[in-house]
Amino acid sequence: MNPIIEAKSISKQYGDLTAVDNIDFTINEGETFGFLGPNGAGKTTTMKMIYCFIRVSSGTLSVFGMDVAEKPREIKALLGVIPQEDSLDPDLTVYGNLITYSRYYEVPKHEAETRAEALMKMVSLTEKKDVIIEDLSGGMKRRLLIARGLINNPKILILDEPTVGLDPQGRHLIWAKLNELKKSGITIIITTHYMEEASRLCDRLIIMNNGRILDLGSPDELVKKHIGKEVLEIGNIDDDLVEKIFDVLNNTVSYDRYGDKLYLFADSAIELAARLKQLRLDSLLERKADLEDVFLALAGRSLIE
Amino acid sequence: MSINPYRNVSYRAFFVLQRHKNVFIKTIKSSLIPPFLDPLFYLLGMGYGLGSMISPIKGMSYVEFIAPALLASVMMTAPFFECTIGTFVRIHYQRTFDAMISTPLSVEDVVTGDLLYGASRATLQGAAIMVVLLAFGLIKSPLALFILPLCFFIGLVFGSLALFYTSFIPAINYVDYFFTLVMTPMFIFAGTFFPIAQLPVWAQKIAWFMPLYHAVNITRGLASGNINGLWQDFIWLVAFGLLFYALALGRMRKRLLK
Repeated sequence: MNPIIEAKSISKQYGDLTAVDNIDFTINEGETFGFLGPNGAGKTTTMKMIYCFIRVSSGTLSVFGMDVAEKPREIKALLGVIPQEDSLDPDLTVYGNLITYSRYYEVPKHEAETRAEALMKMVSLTEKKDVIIEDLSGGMKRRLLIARGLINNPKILILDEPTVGLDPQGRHLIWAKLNELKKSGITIIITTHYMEEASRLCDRLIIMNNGRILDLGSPDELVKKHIGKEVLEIGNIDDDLVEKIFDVLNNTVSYDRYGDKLYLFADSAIELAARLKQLRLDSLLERKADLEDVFLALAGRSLIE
Repeated sequence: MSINPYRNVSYRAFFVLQRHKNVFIKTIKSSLIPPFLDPLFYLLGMGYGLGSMISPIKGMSYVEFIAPALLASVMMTAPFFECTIGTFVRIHYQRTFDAMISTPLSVEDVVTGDLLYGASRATLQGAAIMVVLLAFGLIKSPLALFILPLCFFIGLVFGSLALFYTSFIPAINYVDYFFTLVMTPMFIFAGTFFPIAQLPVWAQKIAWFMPLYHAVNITRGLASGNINGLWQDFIWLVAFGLLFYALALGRMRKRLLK
């Protein structure tokens, strides 16, 4: 494993507000690395520090061994950045956008033309080559942003909430493209607040909240560590019922409670349900544990406050 | 500040200029005719119409007096529009600034690209007016050949001032203040339609601080062939331009890289 991004105690302050609070992480070559967390967790800020768009307030951050404060041009030349908001050039066509950005990376003209054609094909926009940006759908714009981010053959692809606001088809199409890219060996960094997206794409991820890292690991590891294998969801509960449930279980299970729902974590949800049979609970759901449970367990309470 | 304010400017600014050029060429039909018509109307209405009632100024007919001033004022207005409205739209609405500075371009490259474009527009519009002035026989000296490179240089000066202003504004309506409080007073009082000697002494002093005053002096001198003392205006503009270019770069960096 070859670490290509190293963050050592980095923080970001805006006046009194601490957006990123003294975090450390390492990203290895070839992996898909995720920053997971709610809006305002500090994940986009962290990402923007990596692509030299936001200055680091303290700590050191290096990309391919180069400090972000010292070598922004050299670092940016190796990155492909796909922002959350549409920053396509509305005065140009699909093809015009790709060619114009190839110039910023100093890709030779002929090479740029070849790449632009290939990228349009890859994101299924060849037919839209001469279409002006405002005539593209949201999903097409997002795909074009991905193509634009690849025009310089980047070593690292950085995506900020790549599927936010897309319909299910659009989202699955983006996931499929990212999985293809992943196989090509490129390092991918992604922020998301969709747990499904994180577990589908990421090899390792960081869960962030309030500018801090809550935990780091692979999706499976994190689920196993914090939740176990399965979850039993019990609905329509009140304080009395919770007490009864814990009496039956002798307080041996870890749990979470949100409003009128109780989540019990165990290796076998069915077995747990069997133990609670005598209570004749009317709303039960047995399911596999996922990242959402981890996230809620780690950050949920502070989110509700 | 001991650090060189121009340190992050590179040749990559020309990639940005090229982007602007490509967009300009696509919309050329809508922007080709007005640059000829605007000065033509001023020339006919004010130069020949109003001017017929005005006695010669420093040996020049009124139309001869204002013709170079009209030329000098587009060296101001063209970059003023490009480097306020145009730049602000790309920063704030289109977010293309954000996208460009995520590539190897620096903030300074992108800002400089806008500045070069503002100066290019000044040159194009200046050339259009030159055509009109030549047609009316209002250019007397071969020195007027220097007016085109002058358009570019003075366009850079005014563009720098406009970019500096743009770096502060939170919303696009604020450009109105710039046009009303900076552009219009210069257009009227900077020795354009009457010599500043007509102003009260205190106002003459203010006029001396207007870049357009110096731009008009040089343009009028080149058009008439009388270039005595113009180097002072030139030095003034170089200093003003370098100062506001540096200030604009610093402010834009602060605004865009948080």
